[in-house]
Amino acid sequence: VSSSAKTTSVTYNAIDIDGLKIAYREAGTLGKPKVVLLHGFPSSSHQYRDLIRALSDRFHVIAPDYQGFGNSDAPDPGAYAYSFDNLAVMMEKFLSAKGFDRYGLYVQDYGGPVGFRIVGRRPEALEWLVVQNSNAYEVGFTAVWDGLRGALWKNRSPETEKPLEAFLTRDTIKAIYMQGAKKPEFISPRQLELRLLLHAATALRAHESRPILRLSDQCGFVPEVAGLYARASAEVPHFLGPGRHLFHGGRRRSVPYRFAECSDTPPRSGPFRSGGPPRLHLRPYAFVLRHNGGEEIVM
Amino acid sequence: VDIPGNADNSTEVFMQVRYRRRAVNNIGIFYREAGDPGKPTVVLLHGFPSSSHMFRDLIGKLAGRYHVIAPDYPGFGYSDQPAPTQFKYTFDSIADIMEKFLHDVGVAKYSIYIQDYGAPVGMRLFFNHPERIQAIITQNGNAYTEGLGGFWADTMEPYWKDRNPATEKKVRELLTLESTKYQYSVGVKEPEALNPDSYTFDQMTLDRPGNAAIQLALIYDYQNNVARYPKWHEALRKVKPPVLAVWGKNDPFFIPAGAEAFKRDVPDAEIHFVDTGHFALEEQAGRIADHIVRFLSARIR
Repeated sequence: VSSSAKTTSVTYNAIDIDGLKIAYREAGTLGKPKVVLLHGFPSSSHQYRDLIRALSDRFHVIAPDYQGFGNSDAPDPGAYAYSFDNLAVMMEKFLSAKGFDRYGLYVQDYGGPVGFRIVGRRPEALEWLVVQNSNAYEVGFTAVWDGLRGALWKNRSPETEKPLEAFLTRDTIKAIYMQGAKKPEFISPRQLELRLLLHAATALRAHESRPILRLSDQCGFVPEVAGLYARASAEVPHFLGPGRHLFHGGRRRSVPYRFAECSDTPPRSGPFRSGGPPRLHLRPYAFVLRHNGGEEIVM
Repeated sequence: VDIPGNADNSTEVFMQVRYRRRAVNNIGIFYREAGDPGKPTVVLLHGFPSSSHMFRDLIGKLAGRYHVIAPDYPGFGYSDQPAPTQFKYTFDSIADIMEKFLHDVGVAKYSIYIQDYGAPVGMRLFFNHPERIQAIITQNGNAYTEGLGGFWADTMEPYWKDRNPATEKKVRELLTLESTKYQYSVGVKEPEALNPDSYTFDQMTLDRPGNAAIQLALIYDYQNNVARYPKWHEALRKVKPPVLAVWGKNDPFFIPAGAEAFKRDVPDAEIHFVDTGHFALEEQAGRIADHIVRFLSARIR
């Protein structure tokens, strides 16, 4: 048995979108079902380095870096307006340029506000959705967000901006990766270091703080997203932690729209309503994808 | 339906890479470990200016069959970088600390994978305790003067002969991003296969305060590796360990003749070339892993 047989090699490229270099990782085969991986803060496509390989023999996978992140260009915020609207527009153009007009979408953290904007405009593009710790509900906000929601987003001033300083320090970045990890020794420290590299540049501090400020756009329920689920023929898989609680008698429940997020409280109404108690304890990269009701892929 | 990969499945635990550290002579040594410790051990010894990070893809490919350990030397990757006044940066010292590290983690017998700096470290482990080494896998890990590309006479020998600001200036260029990027990209067949994380991360470790002095000390000491070659050849002739050379053939630092030369002392050494450069794992990890698995399956128990 060839040990390399399972791995399709990953390529590292960049294309120009509106004069900005957008870097991306790509793997898999043309013609296979497409998957788009949208990254979180303060990471980049780097966070998907293992997942890309795990998916590459069944899918055509693409993972871009937003402007200001990873290996993409980071224009000066004085000359470029960093907002989730603009990140989403760039990513939408990027996906079009790469011929991604219909795809499964995996979003984590910032990936949600970026990805939901894209598929909100183009619901026909969405084949299925995996939401890994990316929020779209009031109930999903923890107390960590109080400083932003209660103060900064209401009244931006030097005083209310103070919490952002801590946000971009090594300690916070480390905590983002380590908190909740069951087996800390599985967390590669390089994740942390690469982020530190980004944050060493003062200019980047300014870049990255802007999207945080504009995250207020996501505060509260996004009607667009609800409509999206109602319209799209997307099948939304559950995340599986240890997994068993999502199975009844060893079989998957067959509910056309299913959604679970990393929250102890289920959404109470609408197409997001979950059939069972979503007590999910997520582990990275442990999930089930179901493609158009077809084959089930267990990672 | 049981979902593999979700529960505390012991096989999966072995497959997943662990990121660990332990103190050896009061120096924190970082290492990556994967695979079942009950299986044969392969120790991966990294090159300049990298760390166990260069093995990130290979580890996963070997972990199903082997117990894999990849440490960072002092001054590299995530290991401590004690000041040169606290730790003597020579290949002898690094080999000693790696020997103690392997002893402390309980590895008695193992194969070594050597690339670049990994060769002078690994060949010392072999020379000091040949009975511990089950096989030598050399990937652009040089031990013969025939393998030294023109770079050595141009840049290194002047520094070795006369260490002064002029000769040091040329050597210091090896510590720049431009040089690090060159080391990874020269000889690569598909530029888009090169992950920018490779040189980005290595350069970050080089740019740490105090690291340049460490690297200069080791570059100066490298001449003692070349001086040691005849002794290593003698040991290879005497012991004749299983040797597999899988060599990036477009490497300007260690040229293909360095791979062929192993046959002189170990006639049944297997020599293979891959169409890539110095950091061959970046582009050819799959092919190299296949060679390793095939070779070790036949040659060690």
